[in-house]
Amino acid sequence: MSSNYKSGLAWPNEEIGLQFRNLYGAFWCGGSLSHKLKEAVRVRNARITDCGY
Amino acid sequence: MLTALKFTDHFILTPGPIPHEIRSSLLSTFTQEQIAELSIGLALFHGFSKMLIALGREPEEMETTIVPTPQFPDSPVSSADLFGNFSHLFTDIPEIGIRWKILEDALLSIGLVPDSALSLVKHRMSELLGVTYVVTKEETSALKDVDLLRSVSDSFVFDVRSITSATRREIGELYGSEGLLQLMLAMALYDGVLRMEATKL
Repeated sequence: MSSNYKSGLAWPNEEIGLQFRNLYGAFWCGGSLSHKLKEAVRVRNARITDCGY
Repeated sequence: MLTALKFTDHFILTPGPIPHEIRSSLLSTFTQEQIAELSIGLALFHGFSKMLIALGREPEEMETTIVPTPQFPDSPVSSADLFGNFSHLFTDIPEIGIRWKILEDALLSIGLVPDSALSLVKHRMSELLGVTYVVTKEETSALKDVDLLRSVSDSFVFDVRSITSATRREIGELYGSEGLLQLMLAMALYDGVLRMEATKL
């Protein structure tokens, strides 16, 4: 089991962790939405879901 | 910004066809590519927040932490790799769609949770979100613990905090601790992408 200590996410294996980071990185660094907007909806989700992160 | 937050609330709280007012506002504010970006972002944020909660991995306390923006992946992908049940959701964002599909394929190749169990979970979630047409129902009669899998799927979609340590223990006894991770990862991915489908954007 591998784990990302900053996010708390854990993966069944390293390959899954790598592919998640590739997907997450493509979302954050690609496209044309601003980081500010992406961060705003991330925080909104965390508030509604009552997620500690 | 307000339009994006209204869409966020709808996506999380009342997943289903998006109300006309929010749709019009989204279409007049963002391009189709940006709307697709917003949708997959919400799918990831919401699905993986719930994965953390379902796994009981939230800290009791957490100081404000600055996490660097994730890096753009080094490895190139080909648009020929974009296929499958959900490819239409990624037409405007193929780079992300291909990465989503690669992650799903890696998830399915782990092999700790039977394919039929993952299929049942995906189909149950599609029922809950009113989009069964996008998921093929497969044979699950030989599957053990159908009731448990359906119940955990229901909880994940609408009441994730009802997944308790007893639930995790029960799943762990079936599939092992890494199988529990595989199952929750599948739920995170499918909850998000099926919500994207449900909005009918």
